[in-house]
Amino acid sequence: MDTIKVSVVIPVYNTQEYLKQCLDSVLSQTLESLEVIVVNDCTPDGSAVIIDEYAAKDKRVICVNHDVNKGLPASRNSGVLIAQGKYVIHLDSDDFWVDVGMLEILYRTAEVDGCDILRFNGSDYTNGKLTQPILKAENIVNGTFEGNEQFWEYRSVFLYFFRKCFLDEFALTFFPEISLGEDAIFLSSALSRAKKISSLPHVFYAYRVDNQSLMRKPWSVTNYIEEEKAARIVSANIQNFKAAYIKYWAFRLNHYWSTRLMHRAFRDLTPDEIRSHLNYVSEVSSEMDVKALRDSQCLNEIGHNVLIFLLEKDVSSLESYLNKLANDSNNDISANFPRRLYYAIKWRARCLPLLALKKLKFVGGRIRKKIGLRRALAGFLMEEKRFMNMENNSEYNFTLSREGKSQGVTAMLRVKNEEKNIVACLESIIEVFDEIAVIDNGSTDSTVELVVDFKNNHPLGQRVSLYSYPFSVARCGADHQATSADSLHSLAYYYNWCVSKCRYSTICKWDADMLLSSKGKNRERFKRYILGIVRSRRMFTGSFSIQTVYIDKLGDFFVSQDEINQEVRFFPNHPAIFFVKAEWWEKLQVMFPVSNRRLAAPVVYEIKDVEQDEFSHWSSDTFVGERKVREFRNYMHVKKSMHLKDAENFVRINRL
Amino acid sequence: MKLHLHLGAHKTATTHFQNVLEANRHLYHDGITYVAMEEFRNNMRRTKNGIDFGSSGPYLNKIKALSQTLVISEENLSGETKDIYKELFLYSSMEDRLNDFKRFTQDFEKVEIWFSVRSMDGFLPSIYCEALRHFPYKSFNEVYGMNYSQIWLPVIQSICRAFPNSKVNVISHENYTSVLPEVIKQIFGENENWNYLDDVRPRAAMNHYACKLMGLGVGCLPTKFSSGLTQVISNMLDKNNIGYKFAPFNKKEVDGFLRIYEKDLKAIELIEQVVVY
Repeated sequence: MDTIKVSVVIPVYNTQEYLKQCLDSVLSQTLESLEVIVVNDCTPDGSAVIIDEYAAKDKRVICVNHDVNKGLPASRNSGVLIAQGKYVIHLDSDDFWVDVGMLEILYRTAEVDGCDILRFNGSDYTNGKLTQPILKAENIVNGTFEGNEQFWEYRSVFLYFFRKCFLDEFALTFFPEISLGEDAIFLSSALSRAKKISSLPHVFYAYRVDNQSLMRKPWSVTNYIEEEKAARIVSANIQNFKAAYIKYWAFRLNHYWSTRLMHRAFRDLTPDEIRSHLNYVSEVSSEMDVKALRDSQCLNEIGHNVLIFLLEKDVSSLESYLNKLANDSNNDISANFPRRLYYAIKWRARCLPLLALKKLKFVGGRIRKKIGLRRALAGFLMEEKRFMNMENNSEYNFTLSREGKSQGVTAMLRVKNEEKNIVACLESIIEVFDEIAVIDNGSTDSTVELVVDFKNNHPLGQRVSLYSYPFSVARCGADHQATSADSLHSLAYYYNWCVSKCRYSTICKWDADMLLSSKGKNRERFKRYILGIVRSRRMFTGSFSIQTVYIDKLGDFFVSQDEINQEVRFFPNHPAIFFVKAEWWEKLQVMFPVSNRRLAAPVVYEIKDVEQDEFSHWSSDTFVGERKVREFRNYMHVKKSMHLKDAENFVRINRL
Repeated sequence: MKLHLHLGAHKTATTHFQNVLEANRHLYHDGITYVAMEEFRNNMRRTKNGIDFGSSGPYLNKIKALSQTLVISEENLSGETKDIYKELFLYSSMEDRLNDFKRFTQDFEKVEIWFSVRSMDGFLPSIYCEALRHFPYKSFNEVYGMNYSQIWLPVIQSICRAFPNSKVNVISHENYTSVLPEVIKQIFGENENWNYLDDVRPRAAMNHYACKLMGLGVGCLPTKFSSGLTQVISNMLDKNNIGYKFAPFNKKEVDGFLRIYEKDLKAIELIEQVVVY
């Protein structure tokens, strides 16, 4: 029997109306190797009949029956207990999944990333429509709870996909005694233990907001106390993760508990019950890390006031303050006219036709170009720019200057241990550029020898200039962040030094793993595009499309259909244009407005060979941002030979 | 069945080579046929997308059946003179053209390619003058722009890619006269009594001043008139011994081209399937 890839756990209680839609959305998934564990928590309605009907129809549906109603946490535990899949996912029986390819994508991504937990997005569902996404779209590969507190933003277990062996390793189960906030307890425990957490921006989950779940029914005082107990357990689980801890408590004090829950409490409970609840909360408030909360500056006025009342155990003042807040929020809209007016104006401003704004911007740009001030402005701004390193190594101080640049293009090629790619790269571009400045950054393989050999033997070898930058350069990510911008080891300083070696009026930032297409038409197109930039009287930056091509273990070429990146690579060799330190790596700083010329056709390929470590210039395993995440996932896809099953995205090609 | 395919390049004595083959037709052995260039060119139909095998097919089938060894010499299979007006690299479209032509050559058990190359200091002005004869005037600078340093290596590489299993013979134009007998022997088995038409003069390049002076407004004339007029002016100046053969490069540039050409030939020689003469 094949290994089951995914176990879907669906606790059922009084959801007869929605159950069919829920089960259909699971059984129609394109990933067929799954088991659907439906836990009948002694439901009194007709759900049991529906479960039996589906179990009879599809062998993948497994029914677990509870003799008595044990509640949601216990039901989830019953399901996970018998799960045999490699991954586990929870689905509430009144909700459903909106994409039939969802499990396929989640499974593939989790396999590629090798993560313990993978989070995806969902949307509120009301009146038969998906209304608004639950989370902000985000894409993270192999993050950790520390430093990525966004994993903690929405604490519902149905938006997470778990590796089963990870749950088993830490014996992670739901607290059966607590039926409110059980998700948050479970997740706080899981997230804080996971070594790798990834996320996908896709909206897969439809969260029905118009049915009567426990969260929307009136609560008793026991419910409120239970919720507070859950909060304490969560707090204990995450107290070593300062950012998440502060975020959690700030959210509760600023908003969730102080206004939303207490607003409900004043409606649901008697004054005595409220007093008893507040007494309980003030008693346990001493467990909070008050200093961290105050230092974080995350508390707003409400949160700050509530915290003071709690610490002083002044329950009567707290009660009257919260009561006032509850009443204010009831009367807020009519009472606060200026505020309403402000929001109305803000809303109107947002609704201004975007097209008109764009048009205005376009016309403005045209006028500016016609006047032709940019080049003059550039000249006025800067004659030359001097760079001095903090290590006081005068040999590597340099100046970017406008003088002495011939008309043409230099390809700026920074290399380090590129013996596998360098010759093919040089051969593909030698005809196109007027100069290729190869800057070696301490290669230990035969890269330098190959470049020298090429320079001596290729008919156009005289176009190649070879330089050496002998300092280790910080890798992208954390290393880069920790390095000062004017250090010899900084990426930006290194790039600027490379720029200073370029002799022509325009520079193209080229990588050793990039190849220009060998097809005549494509080469023509690229050269024409270059000439357009170089020969123009105006200054341009230039961006072109780069198609990523993977070489798998067998040496076959695969084009990744979804990976064509448009990037600014051409820029004028001018002292007012240089590299500066950005968050994750370096970025090009242009001191005056310059138009960009774009070549849309993908005539340049970026080669990623799975036999080489393509991410060696990164100092961490965590990748953030759509492009980097996609790069990493596609690379791992090919590395793990999963591309052969994904003919839609990976297309085999014979030559570049 | 074997095919010897001579693909040019233009302005590397291709016409002379074709004339030699034509003049010595009576010396061919049985089982070898040279398809006259004019006849071949007239029977090949091209569309925008390549060779029109629909209308050229019967002719191609006919010549295939002529003998065991076929010799075809047609430089326009690689590209055309006018390409120099619009392409930035030498024979950019050659690979596509050859891949198209492969439909014809795939029936042959063996295909041998012949291709001549020439230093750019001579080739570029020659092909420019040839383009001037047939197409509207454009200045030399406009045609070549900033793209002088062209090399043959990628051209040969594209031939090798198009015919990966064929032997590719590359003849250096500078050695053409001396290696011609050897080439004939390679193709026809022997070269005894062959007439190499040593007294036939190549078509002269345009007059230097004609090429330069034509820039003064002639470019806007209709195509036929413009090219005809360039030729007339050039002939007129030549007759009166005014000026010299079109030579756009100075000595330093010529030396540069020769150095590149030397390296170019060496690099071509390193390709496994290539033999350089």
